[in-house]
Amino acid sequence: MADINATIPDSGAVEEPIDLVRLSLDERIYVKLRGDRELRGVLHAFDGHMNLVLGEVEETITLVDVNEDTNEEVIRIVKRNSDMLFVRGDGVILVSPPSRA
Amino acid sequence: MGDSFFGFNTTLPRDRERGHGEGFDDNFFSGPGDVNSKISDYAARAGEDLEIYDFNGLRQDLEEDDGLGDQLVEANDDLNDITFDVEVSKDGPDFDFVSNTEDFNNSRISENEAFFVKPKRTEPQQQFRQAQPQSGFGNYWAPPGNNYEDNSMNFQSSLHRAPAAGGRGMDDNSPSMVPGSIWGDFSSPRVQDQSYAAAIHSQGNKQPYLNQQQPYGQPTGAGHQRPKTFEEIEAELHRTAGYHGQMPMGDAQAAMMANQGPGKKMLTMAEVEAALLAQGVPPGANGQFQQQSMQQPPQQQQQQQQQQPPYGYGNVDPAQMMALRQQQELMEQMSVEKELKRREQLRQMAEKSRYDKLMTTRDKDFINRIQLQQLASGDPFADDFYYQVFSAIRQRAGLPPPGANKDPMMEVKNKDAGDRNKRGNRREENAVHKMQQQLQRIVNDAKRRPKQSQLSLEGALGKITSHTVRNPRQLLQVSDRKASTQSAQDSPELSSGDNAPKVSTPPRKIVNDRKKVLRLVEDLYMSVLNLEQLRRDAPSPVARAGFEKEHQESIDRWNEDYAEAINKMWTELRIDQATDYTQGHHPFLSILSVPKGKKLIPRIARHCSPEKIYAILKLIVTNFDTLKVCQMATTNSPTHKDQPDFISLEDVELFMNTVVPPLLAYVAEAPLSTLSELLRLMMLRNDVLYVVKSKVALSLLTMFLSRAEILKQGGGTLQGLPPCSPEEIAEWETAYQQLYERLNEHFLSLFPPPVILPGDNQAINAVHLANNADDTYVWQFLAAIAVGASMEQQHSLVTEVRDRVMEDIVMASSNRLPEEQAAHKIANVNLFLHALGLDASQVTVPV
Repeated sequence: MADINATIPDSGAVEEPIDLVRLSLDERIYVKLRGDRELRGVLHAFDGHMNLVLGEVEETITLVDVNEDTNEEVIRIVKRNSDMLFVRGDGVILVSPPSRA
Repeated sequence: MGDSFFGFNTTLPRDRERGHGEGFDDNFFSGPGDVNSKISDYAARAGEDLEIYDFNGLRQDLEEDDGLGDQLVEANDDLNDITFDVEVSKDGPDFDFVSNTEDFNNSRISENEAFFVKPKRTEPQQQFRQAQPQSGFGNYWAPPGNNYEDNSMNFQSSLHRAPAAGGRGMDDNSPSMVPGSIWGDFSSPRVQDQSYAAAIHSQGNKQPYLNQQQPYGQPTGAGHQRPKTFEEIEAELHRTAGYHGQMPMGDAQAAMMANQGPGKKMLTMAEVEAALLAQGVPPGANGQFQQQSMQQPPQQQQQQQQQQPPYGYGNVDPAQMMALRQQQELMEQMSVEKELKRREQLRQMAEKSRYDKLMTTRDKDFINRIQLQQLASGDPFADDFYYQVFSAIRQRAGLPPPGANKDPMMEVKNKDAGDRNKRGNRREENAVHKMQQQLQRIVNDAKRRPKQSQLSLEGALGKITSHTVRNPRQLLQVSDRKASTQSAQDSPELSSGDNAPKVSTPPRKIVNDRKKVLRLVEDLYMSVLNLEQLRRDAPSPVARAGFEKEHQESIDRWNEDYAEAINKMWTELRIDQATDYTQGHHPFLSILSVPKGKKLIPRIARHCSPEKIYAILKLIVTNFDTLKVCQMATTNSPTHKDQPDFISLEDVELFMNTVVPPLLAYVAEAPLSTLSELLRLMMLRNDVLYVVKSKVALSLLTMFLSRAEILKQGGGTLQGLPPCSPEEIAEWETAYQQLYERLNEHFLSLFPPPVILPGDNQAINAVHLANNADDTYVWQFLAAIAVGASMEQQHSLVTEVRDRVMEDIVMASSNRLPEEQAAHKIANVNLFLHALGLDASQVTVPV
């Protein structure tokens, strides 16, 4: 897992946002994705495009169903679990440590 | 070019004009008589023994390579016409035109090409064939007796291929031409009557098709060391034609009547000739032919055509004729099918080979280079890390490296080698070697010349960025400040290791800040990865011959680098930093608090000397109570078994699996004094009763105790350690007594609290029982402590633990537990009881 670091220039300093992501390697993180999706999982690897490899992921998809007759919006939440997930970087909006609630 | 063609064609009529029987007899049976005279004549002239020209003998001789053939051909080239005429007819089968025709087949132009390139040629030829069936050429076939068969067979067979393959001749004309001539052979009553002639003819007709399958396989002329050129043949034929020219002219008509077969032959010959012509063979001597044929009076031709019955079987029995015709048709069909198939193959081959030799070797190399350039890498570990590591792992496991033959470089290599395969292994190796060299060169080139990512064209505004695999289009603009600040930031850190005064300043901020801890860990990972890379790049221990000095230098340099890298890592570990208790955790212990920090330890330990491990161990032991694993384990109360606790269990497992093993490895070789020291430290710095409730601490203690016991009993000598001195033993005993005193009366508290789960869910209960059963380490510890205990100590120990022992044994012997777990419990208890010299079976279970 940590081998990913080999591709990252040798630096311990937090100088740019992506360095913060590096600190979260092998930690649980929270990822917000386009399309009302959220992921919680262990960050195994990432790159400059924010492509991510996550482990033990719980994916949360928020769906809004519009009732055609009444125009009522019904919000549904679908959850999915994956052992391992590759996330393409172009969908990533936000990466953060999980909120310690 | 069409001229020579006429020449061939015109041979027909003479044959046809010959009388029925006479023509044949003359040609075939009177032949040998002539031959004999000619032989003697020739022999006289050449002054050589006839035996030499025995072609059968010659063939054998030639196979033995006695050079007789050379002699023959070279000495008497000018007499070839006579030779063939005479000798062949006498000795039969050995004048082989195939060898000659092979010249054409081998000539660079394929038949297809010939025909497709110059298709027009064939049509006039065919017209001529019908219109001008006279020439002296036929005589060549007519007279020479039984050699006719072979000659015509070979010649026709090889030549016949051409028009057939060409496609035109046959397709265009088959209805009128081909069947007509072929049937002519078979249906001729003469032919049927004369079995000999029939045999000849049928063979003559069948063979071509049979031979087509292996036209190249024909023996290449016994008498010919040097294959004849087409011109030569033609000249020969021509001469022969002239030779017999006068004689058969007279009864040409009769001959034609009799010899539909030869007539047919001539037709095919004409086709053949057309093909040859189309191939662009220079006409050479054909000019004469043409003249001859042109001089043929037109009336004569007309006459011939009139006299010639349609298809030439006027007097034939219709039934026989039908049968023959059917048979012939069948054969025809079959051969046509074969022919078509073959033609298709030829066409495909031509299609494929159309672009042959378009590229020179240089071009190919160039393209290879371009392709390989993308793959070539001077630093495979940086460019293809996972593949390298994966294959290394596989190799260690004794498996072939993954996708060895799928490796593009290998593929190229194999392909390259494949081309040369037939030339033997050496060539192959050579090719591989070359390829490797080329690769090396490419890599070096690429290294020397950094990839140009931008170029500005003249007249263009701005720059054009070229994107490649290595230089993809940039989507993120990230500042490059890092590189410059890096060194500035590194230097104080490095010096902090050397200078004591600076030590205390940075770490204070780090403590307790999770982000800082993570950063610390990341830094460490960088160092460790760097170290691992260094290890991989280590110079081989064996020096190349002649480079010993350089080798030694490189080893020294590497050692320096390695030591420096280890120092850097060690500094980052901050083991040597004094623990400031007012600040809470020691930085190293905070590293251990995150999972990836724990995972680092084995990788770090690999590069550490025993002293360094000892330092780590000492630090851990000293600060045990601040260790997160310890805290979580002890606060693991049954009442709130929530998420964090669950994780802590995993944490403990991880700690046991990652951090403990290297320490254990160290302890397993530690001398007794070290153990006493560690034990004392443990008791001195920690609240023992608190600490020992954690699995990790208990495991460490067990390690110490059992190692000490081994050493006391002299096990150390096996490892080359001096036997324990009495002082050492005394020291240990003191430490041990201290430990026992502390733990006495509290042994039962060592056992993990029973986890009580609400509800009676079967699955959860199973987990609960499994957890409960996992007190092996406690029994191990008890055993370890019991071994070292005095009699009284053992007694009190047993008294204290007896209830627990009984409980376990009772539970195991009752039927409430699955068999496996019961056995496990008994085994656990036995661990302890055996240390006392007892066994679970000795304990009587009160029923």
